[in-house]
Amino acid sequence: MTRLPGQPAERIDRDAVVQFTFDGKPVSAFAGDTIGSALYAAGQRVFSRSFKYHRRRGLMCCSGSCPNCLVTVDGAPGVRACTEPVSEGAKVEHLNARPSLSFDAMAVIDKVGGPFTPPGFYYKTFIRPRSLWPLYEKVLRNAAGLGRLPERQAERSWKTEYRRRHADLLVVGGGAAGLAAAATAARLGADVVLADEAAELGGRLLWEGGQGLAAELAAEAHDAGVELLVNASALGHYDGLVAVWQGSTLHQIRARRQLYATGAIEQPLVFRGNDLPGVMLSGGARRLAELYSVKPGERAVVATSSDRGLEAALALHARGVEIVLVADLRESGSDAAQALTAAGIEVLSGWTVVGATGASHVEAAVLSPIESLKPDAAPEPRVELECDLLVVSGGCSPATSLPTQAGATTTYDAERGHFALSELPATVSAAGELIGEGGRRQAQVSGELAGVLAASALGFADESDLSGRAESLRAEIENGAGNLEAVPPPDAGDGRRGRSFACFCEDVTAKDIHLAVQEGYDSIELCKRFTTVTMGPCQGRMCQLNAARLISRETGQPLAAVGTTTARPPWATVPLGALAGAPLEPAKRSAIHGRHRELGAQIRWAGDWRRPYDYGDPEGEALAVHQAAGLIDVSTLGKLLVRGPDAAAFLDRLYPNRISTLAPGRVRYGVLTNDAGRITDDGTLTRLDEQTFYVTTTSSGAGAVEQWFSWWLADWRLDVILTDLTQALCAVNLAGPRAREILATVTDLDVSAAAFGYLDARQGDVAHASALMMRIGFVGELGYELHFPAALGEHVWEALLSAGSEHGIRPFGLEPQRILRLQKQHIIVGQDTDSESNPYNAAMPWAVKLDKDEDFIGKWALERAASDPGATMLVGFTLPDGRAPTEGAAVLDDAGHPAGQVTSTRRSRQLNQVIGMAWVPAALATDGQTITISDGDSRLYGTVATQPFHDPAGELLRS
Amino acid sequence: MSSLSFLTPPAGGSSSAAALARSPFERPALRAGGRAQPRDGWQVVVDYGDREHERELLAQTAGFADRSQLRKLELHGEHRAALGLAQLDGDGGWLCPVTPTRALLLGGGASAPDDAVDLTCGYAALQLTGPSANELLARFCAIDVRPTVMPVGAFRPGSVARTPGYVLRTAEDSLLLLVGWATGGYLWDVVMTAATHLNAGPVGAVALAEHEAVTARA
Repeated sequence: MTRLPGQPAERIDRDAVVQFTFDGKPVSAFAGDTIGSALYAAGQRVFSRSFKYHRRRGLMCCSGSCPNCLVTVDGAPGVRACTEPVSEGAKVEHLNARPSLSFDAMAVIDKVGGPFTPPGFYYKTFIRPRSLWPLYEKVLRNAAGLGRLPERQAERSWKTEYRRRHADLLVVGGGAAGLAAAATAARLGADVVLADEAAELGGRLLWEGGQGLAAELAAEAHDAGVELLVNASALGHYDGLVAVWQGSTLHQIRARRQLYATGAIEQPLVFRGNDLPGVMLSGGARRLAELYSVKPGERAVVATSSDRGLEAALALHARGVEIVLVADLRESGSDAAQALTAAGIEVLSGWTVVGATGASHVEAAVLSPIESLKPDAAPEPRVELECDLLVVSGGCSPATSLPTQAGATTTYDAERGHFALSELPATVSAAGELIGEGGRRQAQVSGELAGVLAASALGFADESDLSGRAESLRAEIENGAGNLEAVPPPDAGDGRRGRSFACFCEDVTAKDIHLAVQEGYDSIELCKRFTTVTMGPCQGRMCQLNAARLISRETGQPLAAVGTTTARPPWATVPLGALAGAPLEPAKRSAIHGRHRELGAQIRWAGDWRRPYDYGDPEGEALAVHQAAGLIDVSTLGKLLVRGPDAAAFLDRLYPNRISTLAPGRVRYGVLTNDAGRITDDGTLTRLDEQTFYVTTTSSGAGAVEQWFSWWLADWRLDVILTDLTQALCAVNLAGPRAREILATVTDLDVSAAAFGYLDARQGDVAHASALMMRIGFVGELGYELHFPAALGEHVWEALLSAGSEHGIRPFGLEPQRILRLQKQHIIVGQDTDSESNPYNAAMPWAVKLDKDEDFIGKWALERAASDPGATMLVGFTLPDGRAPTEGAAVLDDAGHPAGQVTSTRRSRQLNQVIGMAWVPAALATDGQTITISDGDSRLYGTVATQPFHDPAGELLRS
Repeated sequence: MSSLSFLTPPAGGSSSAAALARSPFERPALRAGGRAQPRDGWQVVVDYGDREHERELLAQTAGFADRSQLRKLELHGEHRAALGLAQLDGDGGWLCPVTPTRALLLGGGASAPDDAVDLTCGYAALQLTGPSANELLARFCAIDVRPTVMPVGAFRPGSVARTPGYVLRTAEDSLLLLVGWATGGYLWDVVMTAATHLNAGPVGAVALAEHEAVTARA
């Protein structure tokens, strides 16, 4: 057991015991522990097996940055044990090892498979013989990946909630700088949101003895009115929107300014055996000890390039860890080094670690002077020290991913040995260790300055009032600069047998990068794609800087030229479910929808509407329309009100039909064409009065037609007002020989044939609802289309069904309507027509009035089409043998080549035959011609019919 | 008879055969336990069986109520309202500018101008009220409704749950949403789902009216 006595900053509750299992074995923890700290306290040192070589891995960063502690928790893979809180009864399992973590059969790859698995091996091996690829693929897929998803996911108790938040300022990072910036800006009047990925605000303060200051700064931010989001990871910057994932909520934060105080990420050193369990970053060791009161080791060697490692050595020493020796890469000693020496701990300046040895865990560290690593250097003494903990610190790399996603640039800072932010976009700022201002007081002041400047830029403070304050803050920052770090060597490996890892996620070694460069992948982007360095769970946090150094060494390019890879979201791990989430899929439903469901309708999508497809008997419903009456909900039709002195002229310009001659109270069918004379929509136009027209469109074309009308109105500036009534009105079509009788019982209007003729429009009450009634039809029988306020939809529908019940009325849906309209060869725009269809080749020449006074859209094209409609024509056809061809099947020309296509087919019980419409070669577009249809492997032979199959003279319609 | 009279639902009558207008929220509201009564020709959900709970929702989290029966007139011609800011007229109607020459008049008792288009049934209307009304909206709408940006009277067009709509702030703690009538059922589902995260819920006309009266006095 490695639990320390109570620590000042510990976050565990020793009075609250939590039990969970790890690979089936019970583990006791305290509330506040992470899975990682609890397992470590219980003696677990190996947490996972690496991706490719299946090498043992242990805790390293304890901050969620590296991949070494990925586990499965309650079936969910990819959980970082070092940051995941323990929960009662959790079932934690290892990843990527079979049969067990202690004995992984795939570790043979590490022993003997190295030569067969160099970087990019999958481009070179497992290719031949090609016939074996399915087997190779299966083996590789089983071997690859981290964790398995269950075949069926259990029902989640949570569903992603999306929250949109606008703010003046978003601060990402809740350490000293971020908290100070947020509080400062909020006090100056800004609406501020702060997001931090940790469970507690304070950043490094929490485990570096600054927990009191952390609490103070957090309280100040809270009191200033900052909205504080913890356990909230910023995923990425998307054109001014920053997505932040918190629990089961995805915050979409749109702020006028973003301020990044994301700190810097401690870097590992590259040396032989640097991935052994027991090799830990200094921050990781300190977190274990100070936050979770877990002793990270008994006997430690420390190798560092900055004061971080020295301070960690002091902190661990204070907690009873024997510090065997400290190797400081820097030549000159610092205050911390002197404190170590005063404590009796040896500090070797200019030394570094070159190797770690051990079977399943670090057992010894090998140190050497840095000079010995230079080419042609004289042999220098090495020191091999027994230890069970090797604390390393390779300096820090600023966490620049999010600001660079926002458009910031980075350049290499040779003095500090890392890539630093250089230029920031106008609405983005940065503070704290991210910009090299990382000392405790320095970070806080850096944040205050950033907050002042942000508030000023937002207009919450007068720049001149704040300039004095800003200057004094700048001075304080400069005075507080800490000791510089040394730049570690790219690879301090001592040349002995063993791997030096640059990338722990993907098992990419220094040698792999050497090989990749040799093969020509000599830029960081190419090297990344070839070796997969920086592509793993850490996304470059642990490896990008070291990889850049290695590439610089191999290519001879300066680091400034090597650069970094492009930062892309997500920066933090996020479940796919958070991004997929609950879809918002707007569905339009007629006001009568509820009744359709109650009547047993099969509901389907038709565009963005939910419509009744049929009521269980499409052929029977179609027959009812012929024999008695049918009622269909056509509320989805587009409906536009066109009003004004220029309304008639406006419509004459838009339609090839003549509209201005339409008398009030009359209806006309209209075909809409575009500039090229192609059919884009169709519908009816009803003149309500001299200056008012009521236009219907297809259901799916409503939006486009409204846009089309609006566009041209804006261009022509006619005195016309357009109003979209599509959703304001319900519409139903009552059709069949009994339609008149039924309608007569629900209205006082005279609906006799003499008083209400075909293509007449009347207004009156239908079942005490005001309605516009039109004698039109799409289904080939006597019909009335009734339009009335949507709020009365169910009322009118029920009234008509009730009135028609003794007459045998049936509701009918889309499918029977398709049968009925096909019998009349009425087109469905977009199904029977396409972008090449014009009124002439679609057999509607009567719709075009080339002689009308008003010029109209597409006139020039239609003038040409009038004499040359095209190579194909739209016709009807019948098939004698009873099989309906597939819609879309090709129509062949004489030579057997596709020359047209079938657009609609149905079997008609009324006509007792298969009917359809098709585009056929013009030479075949006359009655009686035989057309050959190629449908799969079959040939079908249809007979052309250019007239409607049912009631060709329209007598029923006009009755 | 105006050529546009067919747009207007009836004002209600005493006849049992009189057409009763129904909101697109009615069915889901009834499934949620709503109790409806005819009022002025409309079927109106007056409560959900526990008015005390509804008062608590309005006071402590958020309640959402059907206001679809609100009269909505589209007016054309130059109007006095500046874009983005609706004006409350003396009859209790909100004149909401859509463009410099087009406005929606919501509610109010004044008689409709002759050339107004009755769009009462063009928009379903939902009132979100309570301290968490802004948060509730934020679950499905990205319009910035912070009081500093959208004070009382502010009127914004935009995407409401990915469908075209409008948001009007009618009070400090209250937002009126307008969406296409046919998307009402969809919007109800969205708001209901969002409300569960915030312990909010539907409220009836009675509780809403009481709350508005108390708020107005305050």
